[in-house]
Amino acid sequence: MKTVFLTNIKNDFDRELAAVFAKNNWEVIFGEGDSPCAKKADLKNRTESLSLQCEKIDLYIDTTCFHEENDTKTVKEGIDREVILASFRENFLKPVWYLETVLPLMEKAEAEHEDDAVKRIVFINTAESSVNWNINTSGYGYSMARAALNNATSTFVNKLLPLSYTFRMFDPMYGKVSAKAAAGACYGYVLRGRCDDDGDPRCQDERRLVIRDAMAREIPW
Amino acid sequence: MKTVLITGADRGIGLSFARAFAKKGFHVYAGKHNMEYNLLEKAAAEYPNITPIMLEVADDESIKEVYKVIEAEEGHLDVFVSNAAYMGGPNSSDIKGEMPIDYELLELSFDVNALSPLKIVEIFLPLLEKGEMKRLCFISSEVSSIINMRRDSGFRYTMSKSALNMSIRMLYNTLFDEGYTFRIYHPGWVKREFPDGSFAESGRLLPDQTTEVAIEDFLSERPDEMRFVMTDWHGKEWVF
Repeated sequence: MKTVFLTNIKNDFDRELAAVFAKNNWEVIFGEGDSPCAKKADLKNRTESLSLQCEKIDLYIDTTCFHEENDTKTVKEGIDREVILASFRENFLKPVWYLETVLPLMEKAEAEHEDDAVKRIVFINTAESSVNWNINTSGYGYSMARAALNNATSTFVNKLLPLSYTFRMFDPMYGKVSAKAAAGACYGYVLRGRCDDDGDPRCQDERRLVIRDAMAREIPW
Repeated sequence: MKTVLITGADRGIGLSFARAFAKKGFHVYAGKHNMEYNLLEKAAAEYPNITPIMLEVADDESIKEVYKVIEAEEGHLDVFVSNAAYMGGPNSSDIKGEMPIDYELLELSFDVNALSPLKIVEIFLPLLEKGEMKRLCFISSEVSSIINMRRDSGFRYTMSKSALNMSIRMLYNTLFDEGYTFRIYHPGWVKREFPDGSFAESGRLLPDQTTEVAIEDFLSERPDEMRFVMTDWHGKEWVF
């Protein structure tokens, strides 16, 4: 049985995502939140505790999407430094910490066939993290932290791709499509391989870090 | 007299900008942070229109003290050059490195490099409103370009520059239609300047070589002001 780790099960999308994996015979383990179809990890002792619940993690999905309740001000209304830092801690530091913690258990995953979705690292992200596309005038904390995470992830790709890890970034289009539909779209995208022709550097989509949304559209950085 | 506030002007690019703006006839408020250096004081002796001023960019009270000085002396701010950055520390930002990730340094880097420039703009808005130029200039870096990322570690600095770019984008979303214009500049690999004024071997450019290009762009009008771009010392565009 394959194992998927979700960092959070806190909103409808997370819950639907856990359910679709469980329905398809994945063991689902999560960090924070609640779910009837998943097992909660004890992360206090980091990998020592995680190893008590599973021998390996095949697929890692960071579902962090935290909007600090006071992160609503424009620059003219006044930016609270502590509010921005609180958002940074939740939307950047915690996802990095989760990945650093879980990575040793992903080392133990082994592919059964060429397009097996093991050693795959997924970040749930949104278009608000796009420097090119962001049209907002508030929500600095969230957007800055997620742009930072996009950048850090690009360094993770450079480090881990040679070690047979692959990456996905997925935008569930919160509020624009149903949570169930978005979860199904995510499940399909995360498990499907992307074109990668070893012999032709022009055909190496699997090696590119991209954000794709529930409609399969690509979001620029 | 036109005015400019430059952060991190103790040495290197910031110090070079201070001299360059002074030569252009600006009253330069040059932010000082590093007490180990006295190069800024030497520049101020040569250019009476450089005013060194203590500025801890991550301290809102320090920013407000500088605001009070500029308000009292000039009553307006035309140009802001955000240059100060935290780049030091061990390589404790590697997802699969020899050291565990240092989360406090990650937060420090974000606070100084991304959040502090945003706070300075916010606090100085009333004086920028009274300035003629309304020009906001930010020193970013090629390492903020996600699509061109070449590093596999050291994300402490790189992520802070992407966060900075995002903050500038959101400032643009608010301020562009009110007459503010923006410059996001990749200065190249600049040699580090030591307290005695000498430079490190590593690096491709001396500070003056990049600032003499930058200042012409910072002070000129572009036909494509509405385009939100990062440019480098060759005048080339970088994608985000």
